[in-house]
Amino acid sequence: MTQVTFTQTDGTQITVEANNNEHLMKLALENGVEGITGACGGSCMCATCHVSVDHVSGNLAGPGEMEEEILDMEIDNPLATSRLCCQIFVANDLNAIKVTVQEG
Amino acid sequence: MAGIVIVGAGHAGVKVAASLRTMDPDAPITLLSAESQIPYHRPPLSKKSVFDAALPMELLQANGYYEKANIDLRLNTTVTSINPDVSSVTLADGQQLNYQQLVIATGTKVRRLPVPGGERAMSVYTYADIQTLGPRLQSANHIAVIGGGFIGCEIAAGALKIGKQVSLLITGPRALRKSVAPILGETVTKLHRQQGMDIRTGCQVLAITEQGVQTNQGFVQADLIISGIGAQANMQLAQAADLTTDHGILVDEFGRTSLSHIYAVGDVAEFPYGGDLLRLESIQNATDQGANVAANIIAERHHQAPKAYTPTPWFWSDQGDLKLQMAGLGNLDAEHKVLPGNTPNNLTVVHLSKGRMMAVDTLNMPANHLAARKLLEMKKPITWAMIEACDFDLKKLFKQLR
Ligand SMILES: Cc1cc2nc3c(=O)[nH]c(=O)nc-3n(C[C@H](O)[C@H](O)[C@H](O)COP(=O)(O)OP(=O)(O)OC[C@H]3O[C@@H](n4cnc5c(N)ncnc54)[C@H](O)[C@@H]3O)c2cc1C
Ligand code: FES
Repeated sequence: MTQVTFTQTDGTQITVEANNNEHLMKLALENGVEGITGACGGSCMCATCHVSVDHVSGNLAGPGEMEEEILDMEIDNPLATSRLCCQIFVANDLNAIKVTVQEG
Repeated sequence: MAGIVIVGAGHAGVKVAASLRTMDPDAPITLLSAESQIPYHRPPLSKKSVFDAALPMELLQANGYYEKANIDLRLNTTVTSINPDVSSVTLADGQQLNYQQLVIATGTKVRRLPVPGGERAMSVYTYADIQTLGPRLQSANHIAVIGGGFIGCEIAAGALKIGKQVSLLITGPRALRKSVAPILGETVTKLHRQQGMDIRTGCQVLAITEQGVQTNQGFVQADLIISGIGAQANMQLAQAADLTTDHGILVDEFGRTSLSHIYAVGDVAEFPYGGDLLRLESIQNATDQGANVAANIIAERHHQAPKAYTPTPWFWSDQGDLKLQMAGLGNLDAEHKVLPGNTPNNLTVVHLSKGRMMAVDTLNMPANHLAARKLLEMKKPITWAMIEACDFDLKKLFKQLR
């Protein structure tokens, strides 16, 4: 189990326990996190699942080519820690992760 | 009090409801769905959910959204007629619902194989479909997939990837014949074959039996048969109410049907596009047209002028490890030019019509797809000479023109 914490735009937090192979966009929708739309269903085609990664305990794989392109072209001022959370997958070696919802 | 009634809670219906709510916190919104599941994404069904024993579902809106947004979502609720004279719809249980504005978002109906035994072939359209199909797919050995369009190719490639023996039966000369540039269709056919997919082209299905598929090229043994031979607009409700229809429910550039206060969106709607009429089956269209119609309903309620829907179509398809992405509206009659820098698994094809870039198809080249989408959205003329002058770098061209 991995502990995933979403900080919403109003500053409130939602923390959930997640299973392997689930992605954070799915978790956000299932747990009613505000500000994550996931318009493309996690196909890495929109940018409506933009978050910044605040803290990682364990291992987190970096963004793929499409994700980097979307961050570069669809988001006005991406942060160094910007990610599309549909591309962040829960895995055994990821103990905990904290993200903040960003403008899509 | 009568408000806005939406028939169908697929991608388009849900987008209309959510956009309406963003623009108007108070308008009464009723969203009717014949399905029993809380609204979900369709694309993953044929790309991953059906191959995963857990049958994962991706929600369209977060849990609790409809209650919080005060949208009256009613599942297992089928509309049986539209009664324009009295501005109401009738539900299967006989109840009448009045509307001020009605939105028809009933999507498509899967086409059935018109051959003896055709009902044995399963199809993938709803989550309920994959609940039946998923377990059968896990236990099957040899799967025959009929139809070389996107959904057929996705299912065939996914089944191959989880170790099944797969035959893909296609009437045309290659996969994706109607949807992408010929060279891309040929490349995809070749790559799937290299992975071990048995692709039979020019193959006519004659009958389906318990043992497999009878074709003009002989018998194909299979213990599971899946068909993906396309879909038709689901528009009987509209026809029975005397709305004007063609291949879909005809709407104007504002999403309005031939009867006042009735709109149609998504897969079921046929709309004016570049001097022609177009019906699209895509998430882009369902979402963008949904947002447009919501804005036009708000405009109608406030006696303001509506805005025209002028989309830049795009689409994607994940087939095993192949990622296809299409920007713009491709055309088989266009001139097709391949961008330099392709490898056996990577390809970018530009559709040129009268010297102007109309569409770009890519295989495993997401950066080019995104740049092409951005370029097309600018709605400026793009010529091959301009692409050449930028060293065939679409992103560089976009950054220059922006
Ligand atoms: C397996 C699959 C994979 C796909 N993959 C992609 C892809 O990768 N990319 C892409 O862009 N597009 C894809 N599509 C197409 C995309 O899903 C559709 O374009 C989109 O769902 C259209 O949205 P819609 O709301 O118009 O219709 P739908 O999503 O079909 O929703 C219509 C809804 O209306 C309901 N309904 C119908 N009649 C009634 C009635 N009388 N009363 C109440 N409810 C009713 C239906 O039950 C249905 O739930 C895919 C489609 C399928 C089936
Ligand atoms: S949901 Fe569309 S990019 Fe993540």
